Amino acid sequence: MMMGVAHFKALLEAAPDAMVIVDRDGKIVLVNAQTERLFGYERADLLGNPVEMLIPGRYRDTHPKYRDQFFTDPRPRAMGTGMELHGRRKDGSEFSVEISLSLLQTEEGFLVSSAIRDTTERKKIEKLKNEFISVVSHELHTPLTSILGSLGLVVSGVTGQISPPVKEMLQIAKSNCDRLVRLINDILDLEKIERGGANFQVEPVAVLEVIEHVLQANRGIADQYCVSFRVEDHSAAACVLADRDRLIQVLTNLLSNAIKFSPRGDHVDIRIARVSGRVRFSVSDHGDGVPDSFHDQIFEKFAQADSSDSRQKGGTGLGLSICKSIIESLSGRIWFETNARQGSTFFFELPATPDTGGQHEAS
Amino acid sequence: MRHHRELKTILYVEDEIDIQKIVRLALQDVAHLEVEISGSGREALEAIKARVPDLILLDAMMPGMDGPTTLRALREIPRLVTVPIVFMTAKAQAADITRFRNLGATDVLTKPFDPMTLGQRLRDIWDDHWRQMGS
Repeated sequence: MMMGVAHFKALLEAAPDAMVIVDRDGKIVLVNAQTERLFGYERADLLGNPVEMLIPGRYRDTHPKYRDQFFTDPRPRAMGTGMELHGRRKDGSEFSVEISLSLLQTEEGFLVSSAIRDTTERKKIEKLKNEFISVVSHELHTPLTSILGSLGLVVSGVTGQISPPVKEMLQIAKSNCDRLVRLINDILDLEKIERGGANFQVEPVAVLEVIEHVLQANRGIADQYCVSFRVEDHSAAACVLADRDRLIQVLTNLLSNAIKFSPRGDHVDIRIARVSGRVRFSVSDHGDGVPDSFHDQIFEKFAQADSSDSRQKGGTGLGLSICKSIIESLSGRIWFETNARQGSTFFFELPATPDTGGQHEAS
Repeated sequence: MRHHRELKTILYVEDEIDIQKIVRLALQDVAHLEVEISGSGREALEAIKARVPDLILLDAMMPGMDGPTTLRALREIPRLVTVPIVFMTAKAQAADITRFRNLGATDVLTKPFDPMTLGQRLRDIWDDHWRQMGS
């Protein structure tokens, strides 16, 4: 869109975010009043200078490369998704920012417009929220310990004999307490992963070995639901780059869901394949599929499809949300396919470790 | 083959009265162990002067002298050098467990715990402890 520079300047001054316009070489050509306020410079100090003066020294060397990259695909978008961005003020202090970029075509040539927002306040609130969740969850463990402990003792007959109806009621209380504990642990786990505090140990992990481990661990529950496993391995001894325990956690979650949604006597299919530099896992059940209305929410927190199927009870509603967080933190992706006739298949991919093989690659 | 004797006496350090009652039942009635209870780190240090237990079970979060501080204080007492000290905590993260071990904890148990198996777990820790010390 062609527009006169004077018209543009007026819009800029009115903008609530700091607007910094740079040319193809990264020189600042236009700023607004909010930029002066946010960074502490007079605009005369900024105009004609490299935009790198507004970022911390440690990022200055790599920034020109990112600027050039923008021009290869100049769609309007947020800058550096997933990265922590910082601005640097005149006095040397740094602050968190969020930046949106767009390309401008003007009479004077191509320019990049960046809208910069100070996110310090928002980050503070998010940190408080996460700390609150963490403290509350830990505080809840203490009364739960007493409840579970006393129920466990009474139900086991330690305090004396109890009648069957009393025992049944107490067992309900106890199993729901167990569920509460799982829920709190899941909430804590999810919060930890989402704020990046999970300390993943990423290393090459042998895929088949992990699958065997998970199948072994879930044989009990599979027998309980009369469900068998079938494994199809097209991965040719692949290894993935992942945290082994977390990979087990994801597979266990998908597998136990598949078991619970399988018809009795049926089987769950587990497939592994190589797909251009990644390993694709899939876990399939032959149940009733995921209802249409639920498709968009399936990876959301606490979304559980409304159903009279009592086997769905007992889950915390966070399992798939945690899986998604784990897989995405490991640079993978997770998705599903479903229909009412064939059931559901959950897929996820993780980076394969480069190895001497590769003849078995499919794409 | 086991050459060391059986676990018999526990000193349990915990400020919450409810959990004290549950652990006493779990260890005395279910596991047939002798339990002495101290309501704080300070009380525990006093109790040690009168009698050295086989094993100390120590809660992580206590007001005043907290778990880690009590642990450090206990580990400085010469008579307790060979006594296993087990930490009980709601925080079960690998980093926390490593930190507790580095402070001198023999092992770490997480809350909530199963009162029906608590005694056996302490017995297992006791056996492992003496096996590692070579007897």
